[in-house]
Amino acid sequence: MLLKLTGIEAGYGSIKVLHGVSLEIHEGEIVTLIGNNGAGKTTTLMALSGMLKPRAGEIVFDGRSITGLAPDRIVELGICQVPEGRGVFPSLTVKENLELAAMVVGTRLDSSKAFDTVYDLFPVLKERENQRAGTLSGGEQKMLAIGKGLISRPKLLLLDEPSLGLAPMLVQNLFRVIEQINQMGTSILLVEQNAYQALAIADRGYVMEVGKICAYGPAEKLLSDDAVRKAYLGC
Amino acid sequence: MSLAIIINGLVVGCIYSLIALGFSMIFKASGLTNFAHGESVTIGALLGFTVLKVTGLPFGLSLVLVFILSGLLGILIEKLAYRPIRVKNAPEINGVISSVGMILILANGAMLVWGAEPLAYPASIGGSLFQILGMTVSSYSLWILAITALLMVVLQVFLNRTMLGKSMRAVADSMLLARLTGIKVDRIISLTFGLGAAFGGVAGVLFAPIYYASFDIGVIGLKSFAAAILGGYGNMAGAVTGGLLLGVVEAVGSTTISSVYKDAIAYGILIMILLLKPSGLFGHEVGRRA
Ligand SMILES: Nc1ncnc2c1ncn2[C@@H]1O[C@H](COP(=O)(O)OP(=O)(O)OP(=O)(O)O)[C@@H](O)[C@H]1O
Ligand SMILES: [Mg+2]
Repeated sequence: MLLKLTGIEAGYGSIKVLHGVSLEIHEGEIVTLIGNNGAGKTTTLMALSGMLKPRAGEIVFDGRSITGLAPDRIVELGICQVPEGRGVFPSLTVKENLELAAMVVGTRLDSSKAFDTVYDLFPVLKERENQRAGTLSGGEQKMLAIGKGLISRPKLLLLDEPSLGLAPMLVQNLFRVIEQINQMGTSILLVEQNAYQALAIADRGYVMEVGKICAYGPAEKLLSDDAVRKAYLGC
Repeated sequence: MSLAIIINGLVVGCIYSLIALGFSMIFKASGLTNFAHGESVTIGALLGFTVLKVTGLPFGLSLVLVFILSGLLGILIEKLAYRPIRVKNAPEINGVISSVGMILILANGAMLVWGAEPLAYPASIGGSLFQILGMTVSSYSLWILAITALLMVVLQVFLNRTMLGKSMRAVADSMLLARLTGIKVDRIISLTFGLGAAFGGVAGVLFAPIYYASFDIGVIGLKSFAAAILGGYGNMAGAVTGGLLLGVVEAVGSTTISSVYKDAIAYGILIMILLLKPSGLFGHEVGRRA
């Protein structure tokens, strides 16, 4: 087991958002987390990344408890989050964005090889290496954000709605890239609005409703589940 | 109008620029205005006085020493006065109060340690006067220009070429994303406060020989703050330009009109420029974040 969340409760100030979330990811899996707006998907990722301290519950990653660790420690241990939105430092160049992400894991990395991996996946980033990230197109920024999450070779990559705002053709591409990243040995937790496509590439899925997991199982089973189809796949 | 007046203006402008850089740097990284930044100028000037007197080090080395000591002070101030507020997500106004408290503590602390009388730096530092192009210039003025230019270059190289500098720029872009990227954000902010205070401290040492050192020279911070706003708050090039411009306007105004109205002229111009370009000379026109 790579990751196990047990009974996570978390929120903002006096507002409680997660009411006991439990979820597992096995090594090598793509797991998707779907649910309506405001269900608490982003909040779950933030708790996982150490941005929010859980009020109850435990997070075990790679055999050790990471509950309450600071975000930089969690990145060092091998969990990287690509947040919602563009997820890049706009005033830094493409290369600087990648350098910073690579730096935080320090010597664990053969850095020129790590850069090659990212540039092979997204050749356009190589061309734009010295351009400020803020001047990239929305799609290019998304690629950089993912490349940035990838370059430190995390064991687990958290993707928060990566397809949001991309043209349909780019979305196709993106899901293919996510599968490719997974084949290189990175486990993935994928939060998506695009539930159908997410389930199509995932091994397993979790469905979230107001701060709780309300259904989970193998992706193909969720795809054929009537209640899930009605609520999230629109058919 | 003689060129000498412009040069004098630039010399004082250099001091404003160095201080303004500290203001802008701290604001950019943390979103906070360190109103107590002027006190790092005070402490720097006074520390410089003591270092020169006690150790007898050459002026250049004293500058380096004060740079380091002021930097450490900046780090301490951030830990005591700002971090608790930032970490607890308290309203921004609390940071202002905290700043004002720091001003009182530092200025009064300085008075306790160094006394209330103005302290003069050794006259030898003022350097010799000489003539170029028919003007009389002190060699010390040229030193101020040179040292300021050097510091700006070093800062540029630091911000653009070192990982620490790049981390600072990343934190300034987005604190949230920096955290998610694994950057130790608290450490970077603390370093930025340190670097800002180090620039303030050096400005104090450079300023004291043409003025004096005393517990109350921190008010120069107010003008430098204005310079930072004039250039576009949070913008490094803007801070430098704003400082130099303010220095020159002040010098020209006080010789052509009246030195009594020196401050009124400077602030008048400031207000005029901000009316024409509210975000400052180098600022981008951005609305408030929705
Ligand atoms: N910073 C915050 N402060 C207070 N409440 C918040 C904050 N962020 C999110 N919330 C609340 O927490 C709840 C869950 O939000 P969250 O962002 O986790 O939802 P989500 O499942 O990611 O939704 P979406 O699909 O729209 O991204 C929402 O009701 C939201 O209003
Ligand atoms: Mg979300």
